[in-house]
Amino acid sequence: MKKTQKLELALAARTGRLWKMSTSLWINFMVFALVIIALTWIILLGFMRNQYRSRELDSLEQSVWNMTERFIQEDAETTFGALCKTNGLFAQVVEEGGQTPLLSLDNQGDRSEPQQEDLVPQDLFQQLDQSDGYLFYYVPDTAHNTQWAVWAVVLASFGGNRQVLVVSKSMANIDALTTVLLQLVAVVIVLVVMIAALLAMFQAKSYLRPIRALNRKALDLADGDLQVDFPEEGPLEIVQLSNSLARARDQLQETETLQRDFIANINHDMKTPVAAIQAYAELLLSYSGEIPEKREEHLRIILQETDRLTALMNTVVELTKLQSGTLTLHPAAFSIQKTAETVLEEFRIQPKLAGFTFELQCKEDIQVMADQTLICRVLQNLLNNAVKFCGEEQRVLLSICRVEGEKTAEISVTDYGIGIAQDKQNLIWERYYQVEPYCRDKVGAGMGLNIVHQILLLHDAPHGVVSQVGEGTTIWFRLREAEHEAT
Amino acid sequence: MKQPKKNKIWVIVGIVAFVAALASLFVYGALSRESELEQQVRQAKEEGCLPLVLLSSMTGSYQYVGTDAAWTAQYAVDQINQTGGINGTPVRLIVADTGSSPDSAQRLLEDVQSQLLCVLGPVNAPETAAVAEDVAQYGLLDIGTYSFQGALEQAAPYGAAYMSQSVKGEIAGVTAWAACNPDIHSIVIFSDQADSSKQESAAALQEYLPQLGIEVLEVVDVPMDSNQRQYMQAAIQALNRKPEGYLSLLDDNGYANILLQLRQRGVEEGRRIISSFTGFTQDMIDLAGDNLDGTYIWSKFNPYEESSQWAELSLVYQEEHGGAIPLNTIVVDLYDAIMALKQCCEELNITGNGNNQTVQREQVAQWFYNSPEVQGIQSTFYWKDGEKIKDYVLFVFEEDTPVKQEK
Repeated sequence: MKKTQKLELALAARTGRLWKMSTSLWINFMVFALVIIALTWIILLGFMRNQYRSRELDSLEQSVWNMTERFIQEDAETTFGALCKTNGLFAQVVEEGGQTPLLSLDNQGDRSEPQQEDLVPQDLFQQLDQSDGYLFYYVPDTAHNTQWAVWAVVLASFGGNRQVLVVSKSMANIDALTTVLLQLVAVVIVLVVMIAALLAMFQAKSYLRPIRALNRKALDLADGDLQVDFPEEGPLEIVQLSNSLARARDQLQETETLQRDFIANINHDMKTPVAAIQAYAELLLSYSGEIPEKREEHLRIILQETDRLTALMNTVVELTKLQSGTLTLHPAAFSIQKTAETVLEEFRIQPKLAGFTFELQCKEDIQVMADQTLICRVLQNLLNNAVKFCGEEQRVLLSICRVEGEKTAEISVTDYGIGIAQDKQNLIWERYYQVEPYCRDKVGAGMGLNIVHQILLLHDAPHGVVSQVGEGTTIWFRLREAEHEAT
Repeated sequence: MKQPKKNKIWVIVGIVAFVAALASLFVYGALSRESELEQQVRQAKEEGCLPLVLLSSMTGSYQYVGTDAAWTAQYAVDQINQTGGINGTPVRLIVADTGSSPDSAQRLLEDVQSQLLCVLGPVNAPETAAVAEDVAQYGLLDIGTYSFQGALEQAAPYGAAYMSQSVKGEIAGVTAWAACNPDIHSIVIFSDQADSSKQESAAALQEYLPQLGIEVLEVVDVPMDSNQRQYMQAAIQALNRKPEGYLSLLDDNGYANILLQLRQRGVEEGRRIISSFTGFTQDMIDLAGDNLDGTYIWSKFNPYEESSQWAELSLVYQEEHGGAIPLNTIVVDLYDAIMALKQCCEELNITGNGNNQTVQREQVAQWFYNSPEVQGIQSTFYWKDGEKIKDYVLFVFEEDTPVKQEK
């Protein structure tokens, strides 16, 4: 099992439940579809059904008042019959104290027995006493398992006995129609759910196809395949992710190259002094131990190589500290001119640099705010770098000047050597980078300028390189003035 | 460049001042402009006439009263002028249409109040209620529709009713009706709750009728501009209470429609129905027809009076109204009021166009507020504290003809 697969399983175990993105997308689509369906259902049930019923009841009321108005006409019964037939109503005229209806019409306008006895409740007249002469009520429609909507209106009062028109309409038709409508809607909803489920599944797959492809490629990368290609397919965000992964891959490739070079360099740099120490130690043991001049010479070489090895180790440690972020800055105001002079003096007195010229160009002394020790290190590294690449002229210029309007001091180190090609200039700050690899005379482990870079980043100090091949190189950086910092 | 804040404030102040000045000029212009009514009054005075302004609802919902009022006032003024005017000064009637609007009545009165000896109208209760406080403030006698106590008290001592109190008439009419129909012990009253005079009458009847052994089961509200269905529903509401009698305080159209509904829905005996004088018009009789048979109505006068003066008036009225007899009480009441004004001016020797108008206004107001007995076109009457004291008449219909009931 590959390492990445193990990692996936470990993540799944830690989160307890881990759904596939396709499942999540499908569920989201379905939830959306169900919400829409629920809203539709509510609108149908709560609005359309009530609206329909309300319209029917309004129509019933209008018919009742029309009948009441026409009661005073001679052909009232004919008019009642016509209205009953037109509107599907049942009508009765009952008299207070009477046992049977004076008139009873069915929904065809013909005389007939009342549809249901309790359409005229026993206490109708008592209820009317509490009203303005008209009532509306519902009565259960036992035959159709629904309701009768009933209006009762006083038509007249003869000798103190009221005659009341009772008009009823069964809600059976309305309920049946509503039921059919709802059944149809239910079928439509089931179809919609099924189609939505399928569409959601295809849609989720369509969205996930490029993501899955990228995931596979990313796993390959994680397994160490640095040649993997990331396809640029799908929506914009997926293409952006693909590009980001490609950049990460390129970075990994570059880092790997640098590491490989470093190991080769360090290997060479360490092997050389160790081999020298071993060789001279063996010479001491077998040959020169008895010859004072030789012994002294060999011991001096051993010490020299040991110093070189120590310096190499210190550099590696220093770089590691810088990169790990454990280094703490101690900023203070100091004279950059004096610091530069001190560092230059260290170089001037070195016997091996006897043929070199170190110039300092500084019009005015400038107090800068920085970590003096680290800035010394920067200057040392830059001077070392300049010494390595100054060529036959063996001349190094350290220049200090004030940058007008910015309250900063610009420090630059210039050599007049081989120079750096334009396309390589940005790479000099990289760790392990060497302009001419394996050129033992002029290069170290490729860490000096990287240390400079890291220190200047810590100071938030702008820095850069200006170079022409065959003419020389100037590396510059800027430090904030102390006065400016104080204000 | 940005304008300083101070400058901006001055610019705003300047604009506001300019607008205010324009508005002031406009308002001043509007106020100082003489209205048409003012012009008419001034012109009458300039031509040596005594201007008599009648605020009448010639249009709108009270038109049916206003047109009769205007006709009557013109008839009375013609009568006066034919006999030499008032103290030799001819009278000129100026009718101002209120459009049945209380606000309009107030504005018209405000326009001319300072130029008049007295004013006639408004000829309906809501408009009179609206001007009652104003006439008291102006100190100007207003002979208007102070047919209920509230407005009369507000206008005192400058309001004088040209008609007798309606509430007292309602009580007197119902009392007489109850005496004729002792078997009626419960009634429903039809009233228009939007009309304060009818509300007052309904409340007074609800309080008074139990003393006669009559229970008021319900007061059914019938708005003035109801449609046929609303009249039917009001009638049904009344029938549902199963009363023994029905009392209408409605106007002629409302009463006629309610009456038709009641008669066609089981109220077979007309004697169980009585109407207020407000329903007593030819239109009502034409609309209700024979359904009126047996029903009662009370009035503030007798349209069928046989005196010569009334006969002459009635004849002229019929000639000018297609044969319709004058049934509106305002015909009698306004005629009597104008004749009383003539009597007042003659007694006080007032022509109305003298220089001492303030004194004359006060004298005329006092005369009317508590007047001596005046001989009217049908009967004698007088004013006491602005209220016109006069007898009421009860009629019972024989088919569609009202017949006076003797006391």
